[in-house]
Amino acid sequence: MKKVLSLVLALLMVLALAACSAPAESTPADDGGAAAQTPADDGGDAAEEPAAEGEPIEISVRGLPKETDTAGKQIMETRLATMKEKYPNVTVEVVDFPYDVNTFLPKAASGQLPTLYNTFFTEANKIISQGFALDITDLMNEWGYTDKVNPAYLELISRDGKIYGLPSSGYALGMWYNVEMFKAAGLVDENGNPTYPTNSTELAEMAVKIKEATGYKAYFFPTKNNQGGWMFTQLVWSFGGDMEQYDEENDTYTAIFNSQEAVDALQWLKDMRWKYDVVQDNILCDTTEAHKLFALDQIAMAQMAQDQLNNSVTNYNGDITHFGMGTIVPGDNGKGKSIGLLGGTFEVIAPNATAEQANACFQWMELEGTTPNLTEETLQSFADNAMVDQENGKLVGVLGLPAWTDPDYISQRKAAIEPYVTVDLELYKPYTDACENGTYELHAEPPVYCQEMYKILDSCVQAVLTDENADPQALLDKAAEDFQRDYLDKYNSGAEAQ
Amino acid sequence: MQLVTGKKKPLVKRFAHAFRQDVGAWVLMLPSLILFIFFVWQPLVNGLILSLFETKGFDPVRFIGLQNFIDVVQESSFRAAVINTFKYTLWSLVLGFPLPILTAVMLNEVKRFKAFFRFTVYFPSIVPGVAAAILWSLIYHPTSGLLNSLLSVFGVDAIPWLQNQNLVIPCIVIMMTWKGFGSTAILYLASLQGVNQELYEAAMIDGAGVFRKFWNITLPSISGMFSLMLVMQIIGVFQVMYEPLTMTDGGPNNASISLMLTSYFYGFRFYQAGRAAAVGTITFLFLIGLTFLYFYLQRKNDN
Repeated sequence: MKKVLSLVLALLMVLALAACSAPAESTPADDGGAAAQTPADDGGDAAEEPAAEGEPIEISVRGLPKETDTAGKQIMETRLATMKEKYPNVTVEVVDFPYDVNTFLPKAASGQLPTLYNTFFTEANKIISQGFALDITDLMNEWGYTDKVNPAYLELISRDGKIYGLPSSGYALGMWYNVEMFKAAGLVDENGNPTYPTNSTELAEMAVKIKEATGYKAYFFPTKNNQGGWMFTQLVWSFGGDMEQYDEENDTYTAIFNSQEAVDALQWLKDMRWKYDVVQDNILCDTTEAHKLFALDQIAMAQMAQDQLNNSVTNYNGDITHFGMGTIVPGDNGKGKSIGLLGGTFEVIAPNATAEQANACFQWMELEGTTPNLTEETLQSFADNAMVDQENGKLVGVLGLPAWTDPDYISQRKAAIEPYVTVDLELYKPYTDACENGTYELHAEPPVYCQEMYKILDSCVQAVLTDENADPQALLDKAAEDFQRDYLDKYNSGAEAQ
Repeated sequence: MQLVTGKKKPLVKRFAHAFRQDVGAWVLMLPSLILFIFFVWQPLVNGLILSLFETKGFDPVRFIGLQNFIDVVQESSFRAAVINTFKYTLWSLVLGFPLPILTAVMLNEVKRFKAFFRFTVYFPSIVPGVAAAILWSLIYHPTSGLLNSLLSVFGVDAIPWLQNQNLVIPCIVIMMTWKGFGSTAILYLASLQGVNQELYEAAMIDGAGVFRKFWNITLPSISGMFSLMLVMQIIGVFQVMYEPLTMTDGGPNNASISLMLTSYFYGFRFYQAGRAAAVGTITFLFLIGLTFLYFYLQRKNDN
């Protein structure tokens, strides 16, 4: 009897546990991940088989408005209703998906990505090479988007002639200024508008003046989370240098960020800290710290993307009218140039999406105005979004470098958002003019092992900002040597594809 | 469990027999056994396997032998990570090992407000890890931090705590000690309360002072606890990860990067799960080595 009882008990427990662990089967440890994330090849012919009328399709898309964002929520509801009306067979679930490097891989590997998500160009290499993006070349052609995308962006998300995403917003890095602090230091022209610096030496001198007038160290430079390397790359270009050199003949890459120009850039940064003493006190931080300091009117200059200061408003209650923007100033070493690192976001379809789901995602994007096709609905979307941003005190009016090049598109979009502009566009003119008239040279991120390079450069930036005796040339020589040996040499010899 | 010693029986039969004899015990163990297999052993084995493969996401795609290990060991930051990990461990032994013992002895002597003091000592352990790390980053802030504000009262110049390559590890270890000493102290306290009070009385009659009593009675009585805590602390601190990640991101200039942080960077920043697993395996081997060394020394000492 005892034996029978224990056997029954054992059986029950096994059953209970099997039930408990059922979800675990789709976790990354098992092959559920592989099954869920089949490589992108089979999605190519998505548009050729449009969903049969009435066949139910479910998709999940990024972009859930915050609980507190009442205007945003209302617009989302209207958009969902329109979608339902136009495509009754498609059910859209809007989810909260902030792209985050810490959570992306587990989500992707376990097949939990939304059908439609978005990310930054900086992540394109990793995401495409790891097979987390569906090949949407055919859909792009089918919907007629390919020719309308800014070619510079298209290049960033294409591999071997295949397209893995739809660019949705773009920018070149610029220099954010805190206008109020410029005014406090008397750095204004005869009309009372702030005068922005035109080269690196002028920038340092202005930072000193602002520090004298306000008591705050005026220049911000991040050093953590690969952002030190990211911003340093921009700095090297501004000083006329480059990071990686491609040798077409041998198909090899060489790390060249220990050139004289790069050393000039690092030396300048070191001087900003030790000679002029104008770099923020807390060195070990990323741009989140800049968002805070800008909101508090405690920092006057930082290299950033144009939409980043919205975080100052949203997270730290900053006032958007205190800010302005110019291009990143050329280095004052005789070789400097006006150049900006290209960035932005692109929309990705999860690799496990079916052809019908992928098509439905395009329908959704068309509706929300993420695509180059201008319809009444998309124009309305622009206006709606601008209105919500205005209500939340965000930046409205600066388009930067739209993903679509058609001048008609740009002018119509500008007209749609005009009633909601939140800032004095004059303060952004140096940036927007340079972007529009082509005097601001645009540069895509280094192509090979970019994030790994940034991480190594983080260390160099941290070294010169925390150690007065650091030697820029020695630091960069070692960094270039390490990066060459650890990554580029292996890449060159074909031992591993990125 | 009664072992069957019949040498002539084949192995399978012996196990089957042992199993039949203890079927009740096995049934009782089954739930935790299954949980262990799913959540501890299977990931452990998977990690080992993954470290031998080129990976895509978390999926192994190509067997590459020890290439991941060669790659991570060759990388320049790896050396720094190994040295730093040992530095963390040593500093934590210097700063963190005696503190809970002293605290426990003091707590044991307290006559009034016992519960209050025990709670106070344990309190930091309740604070979530990352929150504690952020809190201490604020304390160490170069200008507006609590520490430098206090120092400025005494006319001491601001010290860039976490930004100083030589101070950063001790600073992080102080935070870890603050966070962890309470729970260890409670364990020591429990052990102290088991010490026979008659020994103290006898010693008192013999004229022993406070220090003498501590040295000759208290310490020997809880020495078994020392060795356990020592191994636990080394294993724990060797895996230091979220503290430097939150406070310094491994900086300045890799001065606070640790082995597990390196593994995290590979896994989540560069999406190279194979290399991340390789670093994990190396850390595992280090720990096994240290544990064996410890047992070897202990046995030698006992003899």
